[in-house]
Amino acid sequence: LKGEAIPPEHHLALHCQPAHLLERDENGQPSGVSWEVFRVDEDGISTNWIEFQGQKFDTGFAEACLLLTSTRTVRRSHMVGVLRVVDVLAAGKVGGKTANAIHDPREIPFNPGHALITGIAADDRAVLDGLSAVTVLHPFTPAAIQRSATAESARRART
Amino acid sequence: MAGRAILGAIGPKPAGIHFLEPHELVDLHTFGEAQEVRVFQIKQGASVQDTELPIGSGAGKQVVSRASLEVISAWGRWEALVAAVIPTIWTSQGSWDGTADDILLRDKSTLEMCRELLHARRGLLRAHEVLALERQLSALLSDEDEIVANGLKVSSASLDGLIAFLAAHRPHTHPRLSLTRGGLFAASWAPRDRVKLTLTFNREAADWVGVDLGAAPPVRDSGAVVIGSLDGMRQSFRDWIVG
Repeated sequence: LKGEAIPPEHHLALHCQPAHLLERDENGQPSGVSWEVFRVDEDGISTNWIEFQGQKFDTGFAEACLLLTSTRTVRRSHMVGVLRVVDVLAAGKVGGKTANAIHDPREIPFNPGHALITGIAADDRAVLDGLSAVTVLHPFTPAAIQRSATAESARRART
Repeated sequence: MAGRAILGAIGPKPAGIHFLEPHELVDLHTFGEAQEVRVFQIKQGASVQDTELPIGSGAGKQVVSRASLEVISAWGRWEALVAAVIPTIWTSQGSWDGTADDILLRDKSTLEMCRELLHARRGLLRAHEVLALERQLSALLSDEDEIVANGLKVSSASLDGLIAFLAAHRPHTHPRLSLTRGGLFAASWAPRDRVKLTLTFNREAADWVGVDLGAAPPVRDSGAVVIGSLDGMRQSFRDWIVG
């Protein structure tokens, strides 16, 4: 339901890219995100609600990965940042803001799980730092990478 | 700040290099916060373009490219070459002490440039730090296409600052590493869930931001430190680096 508050125990998926905004551990593996990975648009930070159809996390995550390919090209070097909604709210508070996570299904491009983090401005560094501290990285599913690659090939063929 | 370059006619010019005339070299550079020459290593190659001539330092042994203006190395065997950099003016002096083959500019990737700086500074670091930085740089900078597409200009002055910081403080755990959109290196420590301390480096200083969402009440603080000191940083955050 558009505008519905997402339960605090649920999760949001964020397309994390480009590669240089992904923090690397001492082995070079992605281990966190820069605060700059959160792109704050006029309506908020664009994410996907993982459990939006009542799925378990794993099933919902795989679905979210596929849906994220509808808006941006997914590359192997990109990652999915997962945030618990309760942590999003806490990050808002530490920055003196009231952050919210709301359902924002989209028709074009079709993304019924689209969600927004609202109440944050692009210069709310304190909140964005908080969000970066609670973001846990996961790789995109192979199916999502494949779908994105196929779509990219088709685009190139057309041009 | 913008600088003006004057490329002097300096002794016998190497064959095969086209020098721009002084009037062609205007407002070429934007230098960072440090008013200093930025240094490139030179290699043999065939990638010289008229717009990418080496410009050197009056101090000698330094060569600057207008292509990316980043500190790479203070190596070189030039007695003296071309220009000293002052914020708004360059002066030129010196003479060539190399052959034409020595001064062709190299098409270096961002990763190569950073690796060379790390190599030049490796004596300051512990072995595991050098290895970790190698891996981190490779992971962050291996996709040159993406770097170009995002217009990322990586600051080697920032990498220099990071290396100096690690050498000065000997952190008990090696930090995570990322880059800002402005090309600065950012190191972070997260000793447990929902906490994070991030330092973003310039050559001489770093901005720090600490967040602890697990504390009651949650804590967020920020400030700046000079590279050689953690004075001014909240003790609880400082402990995550050197405690």
